[in-house]
Amino acid sequence: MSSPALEAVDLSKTIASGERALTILDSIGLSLNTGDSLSIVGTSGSGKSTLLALLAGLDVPTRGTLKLLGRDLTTLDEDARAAWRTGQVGFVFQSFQLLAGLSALDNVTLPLELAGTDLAEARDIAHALLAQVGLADRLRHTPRQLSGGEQQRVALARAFACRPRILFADEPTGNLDGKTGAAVIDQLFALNAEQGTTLVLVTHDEHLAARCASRCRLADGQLHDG
Amino acid sequence: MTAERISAFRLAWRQLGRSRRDGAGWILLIALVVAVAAVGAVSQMTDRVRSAMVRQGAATIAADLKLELRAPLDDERSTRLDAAGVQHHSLTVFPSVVSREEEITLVSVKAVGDGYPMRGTLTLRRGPPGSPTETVRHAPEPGTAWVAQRILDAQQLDVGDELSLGDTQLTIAAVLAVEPDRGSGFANIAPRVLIRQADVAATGLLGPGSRASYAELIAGPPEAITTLRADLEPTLAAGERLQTPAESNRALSRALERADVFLDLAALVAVVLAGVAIALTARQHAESRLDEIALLKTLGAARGLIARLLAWQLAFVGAIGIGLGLGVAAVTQLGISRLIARAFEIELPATSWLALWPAAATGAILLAGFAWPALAQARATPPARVLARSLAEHGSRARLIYAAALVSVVALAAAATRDLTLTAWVVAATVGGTALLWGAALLMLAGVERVRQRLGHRAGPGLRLGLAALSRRRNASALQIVAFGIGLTMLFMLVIVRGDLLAGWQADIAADAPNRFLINITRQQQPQVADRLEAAGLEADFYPLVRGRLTAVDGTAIADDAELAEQAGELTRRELNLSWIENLKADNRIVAGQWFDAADTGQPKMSIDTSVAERLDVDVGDSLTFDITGTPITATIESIREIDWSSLQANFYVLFSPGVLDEFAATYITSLYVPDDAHGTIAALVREFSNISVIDIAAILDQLTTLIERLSVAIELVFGFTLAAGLVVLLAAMQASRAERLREAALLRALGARSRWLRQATIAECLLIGLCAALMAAVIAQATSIVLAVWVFDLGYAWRPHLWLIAIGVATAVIAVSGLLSLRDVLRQPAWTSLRAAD
Repeated sequence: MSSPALEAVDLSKTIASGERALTILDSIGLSLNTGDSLSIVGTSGSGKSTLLALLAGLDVPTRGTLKLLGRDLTTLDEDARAAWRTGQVGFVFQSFQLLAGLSALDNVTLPLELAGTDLAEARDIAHALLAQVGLADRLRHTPRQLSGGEQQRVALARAFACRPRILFADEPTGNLDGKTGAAVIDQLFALNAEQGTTLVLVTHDEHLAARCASRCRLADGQLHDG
Repeated sequence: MTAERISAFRLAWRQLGRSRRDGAGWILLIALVVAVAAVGAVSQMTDRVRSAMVRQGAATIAADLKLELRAPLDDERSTRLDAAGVQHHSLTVFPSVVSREEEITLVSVKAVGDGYPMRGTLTLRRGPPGSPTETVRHAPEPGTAWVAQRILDAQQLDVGDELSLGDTQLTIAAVLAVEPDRGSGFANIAPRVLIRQADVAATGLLGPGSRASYAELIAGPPEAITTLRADLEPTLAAGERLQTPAESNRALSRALERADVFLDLAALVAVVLAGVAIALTARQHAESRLDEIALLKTLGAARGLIARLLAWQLAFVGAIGIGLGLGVAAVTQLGISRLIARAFEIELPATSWLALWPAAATGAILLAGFAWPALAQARATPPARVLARSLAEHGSRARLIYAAALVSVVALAAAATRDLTLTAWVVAATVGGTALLWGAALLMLAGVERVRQRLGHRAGPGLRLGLAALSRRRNASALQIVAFGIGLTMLFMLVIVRGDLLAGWQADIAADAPNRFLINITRQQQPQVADRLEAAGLEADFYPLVRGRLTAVDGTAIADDAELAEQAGELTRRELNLSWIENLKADNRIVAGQWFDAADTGQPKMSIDTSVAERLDVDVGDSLTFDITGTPITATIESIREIDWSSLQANFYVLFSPGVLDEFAATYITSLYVPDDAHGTIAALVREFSNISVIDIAAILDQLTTLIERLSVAIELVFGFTLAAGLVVLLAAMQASRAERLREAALLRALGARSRWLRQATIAECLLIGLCAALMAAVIAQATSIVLAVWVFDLGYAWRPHLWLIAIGVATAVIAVSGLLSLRDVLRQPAWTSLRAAD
């Protein structure tokens, strides 16, 4: 059996809310093997996004430890976590998070540039990925000139540009209609399968969750199977 | 490869071309261009006006520098002048008499070289008084003389007649109407005869022991003059001195000084306005980068890389903005310098790009002081922001930004003016004004909220929406009030100080300002002279005058103390005019001690001018001894006065308490305004009392009037430009809240708000913001202006309620109109399009 790509132990997050503390996540334990896919479902406000932020090392837990790809992220500061993420971790967000001033091609090139890839090579990779998601003729368009589905496809291309070992997706179809969302998800899983990426997907969509190998539910700050 | 290996410069450079659609970046860029252009054009303009003023001032000594000598220029210094890259001409002045039949007139002969006057022009008249005049820039022809009208009057001569001067006869070629370097001292009372240096020998008047004074007029580039001055200073022997235009005429130099300070103030105002514009837009710019920063972190960029990336991006914006701003400034000042050249009737040297460096530095410092702290703070945005903004609330470190901004403004202000007093007051006004404006803004907003609740649905939907918007954006509204308020304070201050300055100058050159001095009136003649003048309807105040020589300071005899003698300088070399009066004159101000009261009458006390106190290093309580016709008189310094010499009234360095000098023979002096038609009264008076001398300062007054009129034009030019730049900056600042306003308006429209309501809401919101900012700005500006008038400009001040009303009205209207303009896009297109565009 391969070593776990993600291993969370006793992960908790408490924030101050007025004068009292509010526990959002309480002693979460989780393990995910390399190449597996996991969906986390929950209602709005259940703390799904907070959990994803902790699992991806974007935020720090109040308590507990997190090992991602064998590295204990809770011992690293923000800069070290950022450096470690480069080229290893990919993201897809509900609100796409494309940079408004950049074209589709430039948005996809950006993570490659940050990883130090030569610009010409980065452009070739971005071009190929955008073609793969069906946007070969929209390379120069800015996010404002693209539909929601097209924007999310650009985001997918960007997420896979560096061939990440693990991909985190936060409600990737949350801002899309059913048909468009399904098309985007098909492409996500296709790219995932092609690159052998470990996938953590947060959603409130049961159908989408069912496409992952394993599934768990977040409620009252705790994680439950199924 | 790791993230550290990638060059932030390369990344920023690549991003540059791609960021053409970055709205906030554009606003920052525009604000920067306007700020640099405003500071550049104002500083260039002040430089140009300054050089024009220096040229104008140079006319008062007919040169850039005057070396006063007791003998003709020696060879050693002549060689030194030749080598200094300047031009120089000799000048000789000596007293003489001209006579015709029984009538003898004491005259002052001035013999000049071919190059005279090196600066300024002479005004000549070939016909009787009132006939046309001409201006010339050369000396009289050999064998001819230009003479003062008084000589023609006294000798009953006309232009074209012969004038006997010593052993020679000269033809009177013209009446010398205006001689710019005549000066205003009592030493120059004798009427002038201007001749060629070459004709001096023929007069036979200059021999050993004759009382001639010599001078070398020098003109050249400012740097050469400065170097030469430092060079010549150590070579000065006793009785020799170097004189600059500013030192030669106190009234003119005071006017120039005030104009100079005003120009500094205008430059300072431009800097503060630029600061306000950059500060407002920098905040918005930084906020617009938060998502990008969070995303970059998610993608693996470390803080260091992000910091370098942001720094490079800012540097690129800075380079482009400063470059464009300098271009605009250069083009603007080209037009302005033409206007100045026309107003001053002079040719100005071409400007250099190098002279624009303060504007470039201003742009750089403003970016570093305002934009960078905001960006640096944005750098701390946690990456989790990409998932949900609520996960990424971070504490504001606004205080750090404001502190950095303040330091930048102070540094710039000090660098712009090198006038620490002025800078201190303007900075105090900015800091104090910010606090006051912030307090007033919060109070107003609290009031608005109460009114809104009380009005409820009684108010129309437009007003309700407007009031709600103010309450909703409480902090943003307060910030906007502070920003507008500071900008308006600066502009109002400039308006008010300009008014005080011009009013002060108008008083200096009032139509009835004294234009004649009568001196040498004996004690017996004084009542009769007063009667004659009163009968002719002429007002005159008489002052007694006793001449005395300073002999001791605090009991130490000057004759026994070489150091003290050196320090006292001119004060001991000639007799001083001593006087006494009961009441302090309006153009005198006590700066230390107290003016005499009734108990001081007959007590040995005196009041001295600040320049005497400084030169002798004495203070209230010290004593001075004067020798008056052989009798030593010692008195204690009771007060020190500052005299406004620009009043051109009779004034005295040393005033004794009444009664102390009664035993000495005094003559009387008076200054009065003599209208043209009363010229006969004075002529008759002089014929009746032949010992009385008349000093005509009408020419000096004319010179002052011309200069002040030109300075006023220059001030208006600088003022007008700063005002225009200020308005542009305020409009740019208004754009800072445009995006948020657009988003809200689009949303409200989507929810069913009518266009009319949105317009009403915007007008209500902008009017309240504008009114609060303008009202507070008027109060702060008036208070600061009073301080500046009294402490910096030494001027009177006036309340100008109409100015307040106009300023507040205009400012409020401009803010409301610009608010409406920003709404135009939303009202023109479908709500959905606006909403999507604003997203």
